[in-house]
Amino acid sequence: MKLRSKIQATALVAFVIASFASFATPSLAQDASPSPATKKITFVVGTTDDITTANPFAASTTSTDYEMLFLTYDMLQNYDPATLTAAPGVAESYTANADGTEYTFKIRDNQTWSDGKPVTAHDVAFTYNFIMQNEGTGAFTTYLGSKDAYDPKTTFTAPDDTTFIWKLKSPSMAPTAIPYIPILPEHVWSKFQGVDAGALKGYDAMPQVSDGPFKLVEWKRGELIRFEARDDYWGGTPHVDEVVFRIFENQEAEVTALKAGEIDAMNGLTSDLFESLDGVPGITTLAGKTPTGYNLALNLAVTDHNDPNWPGNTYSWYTSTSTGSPALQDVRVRRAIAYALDKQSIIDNVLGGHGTVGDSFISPLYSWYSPPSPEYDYLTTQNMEKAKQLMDEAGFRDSDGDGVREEKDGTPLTFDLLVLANNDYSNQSGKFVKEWLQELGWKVNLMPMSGGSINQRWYKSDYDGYIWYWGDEPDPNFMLSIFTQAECLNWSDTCFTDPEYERLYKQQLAETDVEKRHEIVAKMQDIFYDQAPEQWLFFVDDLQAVRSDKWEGFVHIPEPNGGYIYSWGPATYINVQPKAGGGTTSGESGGTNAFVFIGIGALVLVVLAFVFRGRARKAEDEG
Amino acid sequence: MSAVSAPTGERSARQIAWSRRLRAGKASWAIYRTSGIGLAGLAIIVAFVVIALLAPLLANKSGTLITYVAEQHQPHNAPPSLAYPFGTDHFGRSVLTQVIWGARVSLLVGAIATLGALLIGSAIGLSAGFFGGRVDGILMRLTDWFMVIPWLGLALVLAAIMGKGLVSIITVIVITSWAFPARVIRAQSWAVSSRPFVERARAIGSRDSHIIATHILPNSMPIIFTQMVITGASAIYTESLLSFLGMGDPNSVSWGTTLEDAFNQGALTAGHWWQIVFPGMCIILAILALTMIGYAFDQVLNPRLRDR
Amino acid sequence: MSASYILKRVLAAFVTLLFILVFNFFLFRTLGDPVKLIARDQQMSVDEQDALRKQLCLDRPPLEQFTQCYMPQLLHGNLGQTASGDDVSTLIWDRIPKTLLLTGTATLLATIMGVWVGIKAGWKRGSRFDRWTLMTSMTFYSTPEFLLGMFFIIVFAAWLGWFPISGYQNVVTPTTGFAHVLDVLNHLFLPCLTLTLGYFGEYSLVMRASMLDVVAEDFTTASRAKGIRESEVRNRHVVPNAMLPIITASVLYFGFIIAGAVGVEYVFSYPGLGLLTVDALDSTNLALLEGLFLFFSAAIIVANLVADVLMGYVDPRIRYG
Repeated sequence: MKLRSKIQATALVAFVIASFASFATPSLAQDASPSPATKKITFVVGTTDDITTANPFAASTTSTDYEMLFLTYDMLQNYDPATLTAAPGVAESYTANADGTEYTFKIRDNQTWSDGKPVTAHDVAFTYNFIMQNEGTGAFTTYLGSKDAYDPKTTFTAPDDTTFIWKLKSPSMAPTAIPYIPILPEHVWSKFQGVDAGALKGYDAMPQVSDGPFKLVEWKRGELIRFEARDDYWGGTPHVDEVVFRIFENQEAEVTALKAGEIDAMNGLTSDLFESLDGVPGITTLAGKTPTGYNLALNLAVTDHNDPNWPGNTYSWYTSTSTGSPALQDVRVRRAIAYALDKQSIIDNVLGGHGTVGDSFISPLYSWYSPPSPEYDYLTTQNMEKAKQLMDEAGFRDSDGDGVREEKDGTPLTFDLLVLANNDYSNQSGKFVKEWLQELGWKVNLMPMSGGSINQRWYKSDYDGYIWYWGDEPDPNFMLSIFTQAECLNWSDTCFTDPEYERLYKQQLAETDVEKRHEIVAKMQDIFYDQAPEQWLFFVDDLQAVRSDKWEGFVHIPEPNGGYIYSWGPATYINVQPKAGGGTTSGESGGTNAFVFIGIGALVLVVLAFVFRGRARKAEDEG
Repeated sequence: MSAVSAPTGERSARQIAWSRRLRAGKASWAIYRTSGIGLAGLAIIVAFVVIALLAPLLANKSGTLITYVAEQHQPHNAPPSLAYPFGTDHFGRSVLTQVIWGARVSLLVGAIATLGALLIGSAIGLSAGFFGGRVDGILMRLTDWFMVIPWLGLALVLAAIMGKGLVSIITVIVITSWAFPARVIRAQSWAVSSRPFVERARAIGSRDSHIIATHILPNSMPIIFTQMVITGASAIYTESLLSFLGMGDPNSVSWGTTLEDAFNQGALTAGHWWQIVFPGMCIILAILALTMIGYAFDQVLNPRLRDR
Repeated sequence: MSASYILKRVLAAFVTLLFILVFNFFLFRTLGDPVKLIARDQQMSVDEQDALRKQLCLDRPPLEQFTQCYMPQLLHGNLGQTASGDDVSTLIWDRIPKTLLLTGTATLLATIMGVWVGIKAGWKRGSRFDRWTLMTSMTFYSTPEFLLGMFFIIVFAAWLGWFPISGYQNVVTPTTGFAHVLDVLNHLFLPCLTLTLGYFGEYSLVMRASMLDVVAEDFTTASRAKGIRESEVRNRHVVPNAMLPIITASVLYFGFIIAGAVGVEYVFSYPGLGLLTVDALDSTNLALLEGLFLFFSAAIIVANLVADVLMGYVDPRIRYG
């Protein structure tokens, strides 16, 4: 026994010594960090959205997908950060022929790919041809002038290294709009010719060959994305050495990291967290105006999918009949739904006031926006009596007094409302919309799910409504297109069709006179207001926060109060630089590592105390 | 076999059996009553049930509607106060109201799921113990398999297939909870079935179903009851975890969904502790209460566990 | 314990595994046509869909699918691919070490603590120690781990700032060597503490009940009558017998160990299998869910087998019987 207690005593002493020793080591660990001279300047962005893939053709789902493309690729024309109008990109300038059927772009000769090879007009022609010829490029085809441009007479050619020619079958303004298409290196992608681009696997090899201000060098799925600055970018060398996106599971962790200096910028804050950061020293908050709007889409797809005129028949993956409530086909019902919504209340309660009521699908930030005439008051104000009146007029009454209206044949009106489970704005707006629709007499089934699941049901036309969002681009063509018949089961939320709208759409596509085009676009918005195929709930402010004590050079995209990051371009990343005396810290949130040892040491001591007491007691027992 | 009509002055066999059970029940209760733990648990559960039943009287149901709360301009994220004893959540809803109405769903799901699990478990357990042999072997193999299914994995799959909501949660709980009680009940059923009087009943020619219903089942009731309580505790745990992870019913309020809301809104870092602590305490208390009841009842059944 | 005992157990495990495989197979096939899912993601033509269908063996009757494609693939460790093309087995394999670190440590500590407390409480029933630890054990047992984790975060991470609120390591400036170990420990502390306390209740209660059972047995009285010292009675006679149910209890508890780990990983954003599971649900990643379901089931089956064999060694009735 004596030997045993001696051993125990030694063990206890050893533990205590070890604990003290470990107290000393945190300081050692800090000394081991690299000296400032060799330290990289890293700008760290926090996000809860990972990229989907490094393949540009499939990177069109999350917000970080788009941000990655802005960081790494140039487009034929880039967005001017201040105004979001066309600015030189891969092309320095362009000229058009008299009737707008042939556009000649002068490609700059001082741009290189990140592997050193020069960017030429051949890369542009290759990219555009690749998009037209290969499968799986649907993310970009619409920018090449809508499906009408799938005409053999549309050609993309590069007669020499610095000239790119875009010929169209008929007059079109498409080439003047900034085509949201990253230019890809022919020498890397030509081997994928004939392949389904969206399904490409193995295109994750790092680093990526790209021509933007940064190149993608590392991607640890779910953890981080690392971009290295290029010193041979024609638009200027970024002041930072690298940009790292650190991926978090939730916002609290992000906010804590921001406060501790582990990250330098974050966006997409909830209004609660945003308010809590207001006034925190070293941090600047920004409610950036954005053209991103959330919409309540209604399912207007016809119920008979055997109808040969229905676009759904051309898509082989479509299988079932639309389950959209037939009531939605009646415009009075759609207007009733609009009357039931109090959009300002949603902004106040869900966005904490940081947003603008939506009426048009075009953002008021852009010149193309045309406000509705006063008769369309359902777009902006709630009027539950009028809403109920319209429903009665349309013939949907509650005959059995259970609070739910019925169709003529007695089936109760049910509304499957799909919302994005992980998107607060969609999810919470959905809760409000559900309650209002219930008051209006619908039986609402609120279904939060992933974006992928919503997509599935959308392709089966199995929903009544969903709440999603669109980020309007500066040129309205794309947003206009989603209400055309051709986009049903591609980009259309509703499968809405209107012959006059179709006619106007083709007209604006070919209209090269800017003022005339404005008029046409205004008329199209009027049809949208009148027919109310969906309701634009609000345009959001992107709530951002940055460490202004360590960094300067943040750029509003667009001026004067657009967001710094996750907007329409990489200007902030290029321009930002450490403030004198600033730079990144490797500081860890949650204090030093010392507490681990306090904790472990304490536990060990407690356990040992118990053991010894037990032994003492046992000694009493015996005998 | 119907009760033999008794001659005047004597009681029928059935009456004798029932009066014996009543006495046994009273004796059990006498033992149960000595356990402070058991009584406390009972009191807590009764309190929760009463609160759930009286919900419409205790809290305005509109208080769970965010549109109503928005119109009333209730404060968002307010800490506990006289007006809002449990504080308010992100939308301004009183957490107390959420908890009261949430009790209904949490307890109801627990109760239904437990009932379902025990119905299946009892049926299988009683049959296995009674019939023995081949039947027992097959049923126990089946039970083994179901005990192995990871309930969380299954829950996720069912949520993906059936959609989120109470039906898929109850289904998961039933599927994954019936196996363990089935085993325990089987042991009891086997013990009872080997007793002489069952042999006699068989010899007389009573139908199997009759024997099970009138002899095996009543003698297994105590075990079944204990299993119900234990399963109930884990059902509440399961519902709260699944709802918290996002598989709950988006159309109703439960303790788990209240926690889910709070967590997603950053209650932890924003310091809105009341949104987590109060619903959390309810969950803990409910599970604890059932556990205590189960513990006390164990003492009734197993004298070795009793305080001397 | 004979070889036939082990063999029977192993065989039983295989049969159970087969059942799980069949269950898994049909469960996921009821979800509808997986080709349609992938097709619209990548806008495939009809020909491409047919080719994919053939590749996934979906053009054959279910039985053939099971024997010709599903099983052979599984035997090669191929759990299929997600809609975006990632290999499921790799995704799962990468996450195992982190979860093992967290859950393994917690289970070990919880078992040691729980057994120790249970022995002491059961031996001295009615003492102050017993009464306090009984209530404590029951309370921890009744507390869902994710709740406990949130309470700890509120107090220790958000309010006091002693520990980081989430994650596994400092991702932006990675550390190496000993500093790395410290970093990981720092992040691991709260989640591990949460799981340990959450699991401990079960072990403590089972051990205590088991002790009470054994203490009441005749042979205990006999040992005492023989004049053997109390401590000897406890350590040599009672405890070894009382330990047996712990093994069975641990295995039965396994499903809750997994659930607890998932909840805690989610709350702490700890990048292990649990978090992967929640992510899979969020994005309705069916291939990944299927793989995880199989993995967890297999883990439970293996745990059962290990417990059975262990019982074979430890339980004298089986060992010598």
